[in-house]
Amino acid sequence: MLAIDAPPGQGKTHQPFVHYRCLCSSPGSSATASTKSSSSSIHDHEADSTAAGTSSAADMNIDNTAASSSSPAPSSAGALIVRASPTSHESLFSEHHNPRSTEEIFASGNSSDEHGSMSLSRLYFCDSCGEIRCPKCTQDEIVCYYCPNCLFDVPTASVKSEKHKCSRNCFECPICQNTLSVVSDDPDVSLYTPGMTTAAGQYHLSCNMCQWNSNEIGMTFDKPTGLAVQLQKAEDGLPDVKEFGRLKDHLEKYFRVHGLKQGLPSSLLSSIQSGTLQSLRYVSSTNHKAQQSDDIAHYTPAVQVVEDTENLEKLMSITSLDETTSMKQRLLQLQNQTYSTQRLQPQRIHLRIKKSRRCRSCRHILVNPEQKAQATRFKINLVALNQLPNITIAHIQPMIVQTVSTVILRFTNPRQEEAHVSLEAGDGANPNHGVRILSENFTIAPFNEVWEYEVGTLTAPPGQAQEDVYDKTANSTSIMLYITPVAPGEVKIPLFVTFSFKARKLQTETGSPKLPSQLVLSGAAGRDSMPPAPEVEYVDKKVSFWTVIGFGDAVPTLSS
Amino acid sequence: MALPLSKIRDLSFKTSIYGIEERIVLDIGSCYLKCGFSGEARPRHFLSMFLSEEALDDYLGLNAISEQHVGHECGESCNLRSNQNCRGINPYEYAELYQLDMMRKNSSGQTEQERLQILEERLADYLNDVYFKYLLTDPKQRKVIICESPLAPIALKESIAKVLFEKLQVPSVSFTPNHLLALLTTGTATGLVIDCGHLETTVLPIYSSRPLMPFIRTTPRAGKFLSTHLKQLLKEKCPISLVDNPTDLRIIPEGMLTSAFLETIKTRLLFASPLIINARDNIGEDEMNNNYRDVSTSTEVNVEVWLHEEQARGKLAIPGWIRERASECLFNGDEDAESLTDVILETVSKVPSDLRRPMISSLLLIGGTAQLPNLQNRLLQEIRRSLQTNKRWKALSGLADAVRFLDDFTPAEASLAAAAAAATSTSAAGLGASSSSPMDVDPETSAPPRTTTRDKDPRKKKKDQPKKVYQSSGKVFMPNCRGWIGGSLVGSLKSSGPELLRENFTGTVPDWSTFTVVSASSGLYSSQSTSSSSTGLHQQQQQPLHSEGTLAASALSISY
Repeated sequence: MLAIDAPPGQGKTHQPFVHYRCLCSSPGSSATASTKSSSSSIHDHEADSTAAGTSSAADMNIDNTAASSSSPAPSSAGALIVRASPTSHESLFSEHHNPRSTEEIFASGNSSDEHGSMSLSRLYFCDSCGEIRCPKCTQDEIVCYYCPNCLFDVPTASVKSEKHKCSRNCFECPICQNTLSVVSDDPDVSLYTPGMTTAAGQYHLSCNMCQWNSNEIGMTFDKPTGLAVQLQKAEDGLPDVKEFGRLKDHLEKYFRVHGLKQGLPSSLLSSIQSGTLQSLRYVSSTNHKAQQSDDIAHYTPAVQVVEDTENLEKLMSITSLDETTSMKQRLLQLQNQTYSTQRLQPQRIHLRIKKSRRCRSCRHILVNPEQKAQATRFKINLVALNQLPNITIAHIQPMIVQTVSTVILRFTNPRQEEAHVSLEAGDGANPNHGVRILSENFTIAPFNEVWEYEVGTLTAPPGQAQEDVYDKTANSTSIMLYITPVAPGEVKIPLFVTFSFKARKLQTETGSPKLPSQLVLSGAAGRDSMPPAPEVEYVDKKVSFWTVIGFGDAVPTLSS
Repeated sequence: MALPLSKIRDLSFKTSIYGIEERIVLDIGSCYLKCGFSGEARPRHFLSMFLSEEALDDYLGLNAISEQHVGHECGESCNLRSNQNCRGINPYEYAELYQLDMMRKNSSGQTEQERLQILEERLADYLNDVYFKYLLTDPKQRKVIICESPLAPIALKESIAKVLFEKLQVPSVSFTPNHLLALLTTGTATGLVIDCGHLETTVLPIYSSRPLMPFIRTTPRAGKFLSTHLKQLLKEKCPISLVDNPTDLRIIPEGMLTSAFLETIKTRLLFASPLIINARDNIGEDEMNNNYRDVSTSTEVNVEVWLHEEQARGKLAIPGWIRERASECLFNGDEDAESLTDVILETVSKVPSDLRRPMISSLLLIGGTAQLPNLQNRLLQEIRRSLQTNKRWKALSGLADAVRFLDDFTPAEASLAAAAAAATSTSAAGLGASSSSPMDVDPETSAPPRTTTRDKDPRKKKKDQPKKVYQSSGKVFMPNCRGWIGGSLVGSLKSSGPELLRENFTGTVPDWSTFTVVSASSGLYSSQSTSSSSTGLHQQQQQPLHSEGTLAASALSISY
């Protein structure tokens, strides 16, 4: 009757998650569209809710400290998805950005629809706008090019001519796309020395993964270096390149003649006035003088390529799928897209880029890596993880319809200032599950590097334990929620979070985005634990945003 | 002139080092996206909207399946909603980027607005990848040329323009008709272009670089149709046997026949049979299939699959006759969906009579489905046969000897090639001869299908006749890339269709079918006319816009 003991993997189960919502994606129109889609998705949930129910084991303990490290590693236990919606803050120095009022934000994101929501690790927090930014409302810019295999920086000047591929000795296997290595036929020659004479064609490429070897296609090299140049030359000498060049010359002549010929357009126009379609009219007037010069002159191709009919015969007699190339292999070799695995060629490895990212509305840079390929540090790193409270589900009970379940949410403060959080459950969800928040207002202690070394529970600093919270450790506070699911299916609730803290006031009036406390270098290095100088002025800053929190699937009551 | 023209030309063609002269050429199909730089002979990347090959291997193979984010490499902009909607319930399903009827409500009840939103999100994802992962170039610097199908939904074009302008901020976009671009890659501007893609096949006559829009004809017999037919055949004719117990046969589970699975079979195993079998009028489908089976000389292919429900390995045996005859559905038409042959001949019969011969003697087959081995030769035979035997085309029967594809050889060349091939003769002849079966094999058309083009090594041939003047370049470009290559050609000549600048983008795009809309914003073109009027490509579309837009539109609507 109940599918509680259905084997895992059967049916679709929903994992608990915490998503922050970025309101950039259609705050207004999504309200209507999202209601619809969420109701249809509820439909799906009902259909497989019988098979659900197993997901919410009690050990949904997502560790907070792991999530607060700078790498956005999704927890394997269940994705934490926190969706950031518009956040506003009423700090003095950013008034000219017209932050949206809290009420406005509340109205726009009050829905459990996940559209536009993401886990916190994906999001950025723009300081000057005081809003959460998702990848969609940021803009990428290229910082530098490098080869992912040899990690060499490629100067911009040569990127284009090398066709965005590595010009060193980096190749990928045509069969399995793994990295190839240059090997010698002679096992004794481990290192190539320039002075040494070697047998011609002694070197070849070999794949350690699938054992492919470039000898198979008759590709050998005399030297172990400079192979990329040879390969690129071969690629550029293919018939399609020659033919393309010829075509370009040919059409260029044609276009040039046309550019000079002024009479043509008027003749076209007159044909339209006669009421027939211009092209038809034009075509049928065969003795029109323009016709001769109008059509493209006779073309003689530069090359002639014969279709490979062997292909067909081979294809008729294959017995296994592996004898033909897969679409992926074929599409890496666009000049002939061969069916035959014998004709696949090794490819040079494609370059990658480092990107910086800007806020689309205020144009400030949110993330800017260092220019060297091998460096992993960031010059600017305004990721949301370092600036907004990180919400995780610390404990969860299985959701059962019409039964109260207890959930514990843990809020972690990544900032070095004490933060106040107030919560409000949204009522725009569909279905609207019963939610009771036990402590709606609470504080979180500031982040302090010391915490990272302390093991065990730490009570809140003295004098602050009066709040009615579930638990308070280090820089995190846990609170309790009572959830009463009203319908089977996935339980998702919108939760409105207002987060306020004292930020150091900027010296300049223009409001540069780089608050010292938020200019965070990657790793903990940037978090200078130096106590702020007493003369620094503080301003209250308030950030509000929506989150969507999912608690897995609710199962029908046992009585039903 | 101070400089000889050729010098000037060389200068203007020189690719700049930091090259922002080169434009981005995009050919966005419903299943594959081709992208690259103008002036290059082949697209840089050919991206699939199917599952990643790895995921497909998992599926066919035996690996445990992780359900998260299958099908695309989970970029930062991955979000749950678009994933769910793209793939439906089955994580192994992909979805075409768009449908031709995307303006209508579809079966899953999505409204037009929702679908457009999904389309935009997907486009934004793909195009972001195109720029920052594949082409590695700054979108703000380069103009964009889009190879558009003339019948693509305008909403699609608008979405593409919107994403390019608003998200990526490209300076300008020009839509250029795919058929014309493809035709230019043969060096001529007159011909009948058959674009056999995924959703539909469109046949468009082009005379002297003017697309004769009123005569465009379409049929749904294309890639998707073939997939559906293949699915049916596999379900009915190909049971799965368990590896452990070969006598235990199962019907293929519906869930296994995903589009990606079908695409794999289609692209790796199918081909068009070189042999025509005449269907008698009253022959049943089953009987026909038996005929196919009897005459087939192709081998059976075993595909290993994983049966989820049984948790066992299975073997799917795809018989040779399915491999060679699945594509038969493209040649057998009915009232709802005309066959390829009929739709081509219908177009030919509708064009002005003095154009029939030029059209039918310069056919050009492009599009993804045209990659099916032997499809073009088979189509040629079918057209000839229809002209000779089908009463419907009696009026055209005189043209039978003129039928020729532009990338096939002229008869003279063919005989030369045949002579060359005679030396290296292969088993091809055996193919035609082995068919002594109860059906009536058309002796004339089944004569060794284009044995003429058999030639093992094109390079060898070139050496034999170094001074030869070619008439046709043969299969130097792949049919699925031709449109893109044309775009690259036109882009390298600094011309293209009417350019739409970012500053002028208001949400609408120019389209030949909406002249009135365009003429309202014709100021846009006049600013561009200097650059594009020199092309001669679009005068017939562009010029009327200024003065006679509505008239032309009404002419069009009448002719429909």
